[in-house]
Amino acid sequence: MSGSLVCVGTGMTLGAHISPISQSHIEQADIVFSLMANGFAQKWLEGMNADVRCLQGFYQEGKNRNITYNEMVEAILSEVCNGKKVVAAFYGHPGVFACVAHRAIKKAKLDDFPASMEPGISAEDCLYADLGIDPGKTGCMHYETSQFMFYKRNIDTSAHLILWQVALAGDKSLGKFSTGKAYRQVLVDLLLEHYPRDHEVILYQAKGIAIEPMREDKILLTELVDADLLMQTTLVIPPCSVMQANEELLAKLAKIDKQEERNKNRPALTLVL
Amino acid sequence: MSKVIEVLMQMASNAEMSNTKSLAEMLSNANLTKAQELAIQTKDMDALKVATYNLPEIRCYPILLPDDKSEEVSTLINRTVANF
Ligand SMILES: C[S@@+](CC[C@H](N)C(=O)[O-])C[C@H]1O[C@@H](n2cnc3c(N)ncnc32)[C@H](O)[C@@H]1O
Repeated sequence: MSGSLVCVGTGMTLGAHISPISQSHIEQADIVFSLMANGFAQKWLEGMNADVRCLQGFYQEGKNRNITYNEMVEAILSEVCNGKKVVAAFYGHPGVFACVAHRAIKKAKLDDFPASMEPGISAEDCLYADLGIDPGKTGCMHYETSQFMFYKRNIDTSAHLILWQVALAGDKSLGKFSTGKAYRQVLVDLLLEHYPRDHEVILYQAKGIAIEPMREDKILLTELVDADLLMQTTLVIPPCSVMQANEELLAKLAKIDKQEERNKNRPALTLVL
Repeated sequence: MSKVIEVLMQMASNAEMSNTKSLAEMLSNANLTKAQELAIQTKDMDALKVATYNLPEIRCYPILLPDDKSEEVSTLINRTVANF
């Protein structure tokens, strides 16, 4: 029997977000590897399949997460190679700000195993619903917080800026479960190059289970240093400027409009022989 | 499936559960322990954790690296270099 891999997302809120196809894959798998966000969700998953293997054990404070992720991929792939129908279930969307599913699928395909991904409802989806933000209104940029700090990015302050994994801000060791005030101060200083000190930002957490409230703490940018940041906190920075019209481009478009209008009004010529 | 999980699933997937009366009725028929029922009624997540036997511990779950050099980027760099 040939093995296969499907990576599925279970969504953010237990029981509310999973798609019928993801649920069916979980129920029909020989083995389900799991990375859930809370114990209730892990227990829920264990109720759907008799062989659920939690990947939590690979994490260790001080251990480089790149090694952790490779070990997770190896564990998943070894069962695919054993000919098993494997499902890897991740909270949220398996491919949004998450590398394990992408790596595992890529590796499985390289080894000629059928591998695919089923989307799930991510923190991003919940954020738009809970905070009433439409990413299409003025645009929206998403970055992993440390990456945002390590590299020079072009920040558009007229769009929303969403920073993921903010609790790990500035961790170069890849081994920390959270970083402290000094690291956050560096992030705040970077943001202050673009935003005013009194700019209001939001600490957001979608609910993981039905009774849990969502978190929408509005704080000043400078208060971020002392804020209570959890692993599941996402930082939302609303725009602080208005969109600037691109006059040069608008002039070009106006010229085209004019030309099209002229062509439309030109009398049609009939060829008389 | 454990009773408390069934209740949480019901609450998350049945629109009728936003009605206080229907929720109370469902809870009273769910055979939960008194502590679990109270924790759910008061929306006390920590108390529900304590009241739920054998709950797996989740300590960490980042699954992303800030510096994951993906294929697309390296291909892009190679292409840019080749164009010079
Ligand atoms: C490695 S990413 C995983 C994202 C996940 N794959 C998804 O689809 O949302 C972890 C980050 O997602 C965000 N996140 C996770 N759980 C969240 C929640 N309940 N509410 C808001 N953001 C959350 C946080 O920024 C956290 O640091």
